[in-house]
Amino acid sequence: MDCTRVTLTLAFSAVLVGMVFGLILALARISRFKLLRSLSWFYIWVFRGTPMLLQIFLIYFILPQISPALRMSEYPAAIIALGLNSAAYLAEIIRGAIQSIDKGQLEAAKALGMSYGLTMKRIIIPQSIRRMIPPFGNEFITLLKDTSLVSAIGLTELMRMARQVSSGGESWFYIPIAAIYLILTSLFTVIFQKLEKKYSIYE
Amino acid sequence: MIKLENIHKSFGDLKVLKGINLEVNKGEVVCVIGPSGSGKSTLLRCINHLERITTGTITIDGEIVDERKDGHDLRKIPSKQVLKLCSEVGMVFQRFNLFPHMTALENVMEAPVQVLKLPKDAAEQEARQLLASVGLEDKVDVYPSRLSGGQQQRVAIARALAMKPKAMLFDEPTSALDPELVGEVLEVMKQLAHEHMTMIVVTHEMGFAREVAHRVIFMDDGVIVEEGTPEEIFTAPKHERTKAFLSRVL
Repeated sequence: MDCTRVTLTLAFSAVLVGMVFGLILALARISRFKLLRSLSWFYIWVFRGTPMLLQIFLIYFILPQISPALRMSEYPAAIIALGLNSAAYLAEIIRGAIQSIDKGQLEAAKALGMSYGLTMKRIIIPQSIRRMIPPFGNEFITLLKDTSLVSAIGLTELMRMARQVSSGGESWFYIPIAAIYLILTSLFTVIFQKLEKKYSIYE
Repeated sequence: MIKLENIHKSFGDLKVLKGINLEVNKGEVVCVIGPSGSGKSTLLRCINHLERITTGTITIDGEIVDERKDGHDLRKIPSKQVLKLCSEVGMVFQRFNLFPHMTALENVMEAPVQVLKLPKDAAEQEARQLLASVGLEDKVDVYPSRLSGGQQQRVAIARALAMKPKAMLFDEPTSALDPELVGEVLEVMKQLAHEHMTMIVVTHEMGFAREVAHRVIFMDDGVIVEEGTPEEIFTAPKHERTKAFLSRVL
């Protein structure tokens, strides 16, 4: 069951990286400064427009060839690759949610003397969170399954485990592994539904 | 107290305000009436920096808060200063704009705690008093979605008052309300007027304007067509446009 823990650790670490970086990208995307907007747009364009497997290879195999200082072991490389990829998707989710908040909220906060940063922190982002939960849940479940891609760089998570065992002639082993994925994704679907409900109290 | 000099405002090619001059004295209640699209709301929003004027000068208590010529800043005002000026003038919106994720009490406490850095218990005590003064002492812990429009607007008034503003701006505060809820909001506004709050009220409530205003301003097509006491405007309007508008709404 170690490999289930690896899959979960990968998914959680990556989504954490993705959330922090995604929030920064989203704020840059709606910023007043054109340079920030363009940089963020470019990042999202690249990371959503290329295959995840390619990004994993890029970080694990190609970066060290550019500079040996960029050599990483499988774990951090996998987390960074998955995190950077999900940041691009989460950025769009966060941006969409922020922009869906009524403009009147910004005006009311400004009329009360609240700065842009304070307004984002206290008024806009707390309200966007509820709207983010359903698409965020989707993204997390996609990410959970996409962790299987890092088996390609030699991390023994669920998928690689399945491959190793079944290549020893026991190909039925894919079935329980599929079941574990299903149990995990179902579990998180329920958790996200609960979260959504919890954040709806004021509606 | 609030002085507007030669205010122009354009949205692209559309000229919304075409040279507004207006002075509002301390403790005065000024009602602005006029057809929709006449620039009334834009005028209020300019005073509170929600819109940037194109040219003109706005002063509050002798302090220049905005000054522009042909869209250029004559006086660069740091954004911190702008925010401070914003908070000194309270604004009440047509659609309330309460923060939906906060209770009535939290809505009123938010700016005093976050902006004025008041201690929480002091802010809470004041917020409770303010909510009581607008007749909502029993709704402090209720979220806006559970309040009627009239109650929401009264919370919004309390929220603006919590910043101890020098003046209050009302942008059609009763236009989004069901008719039976208009009265309770106007009542709170009357009470404020009696406490000598300086107020500029954009409204379609002619009864309120007639009863409470010290001065009524009729705007049409981006200019002030006529101004005077409620008597002068409602019983003996001088201008054709004023007469035509009043005959439509009264």
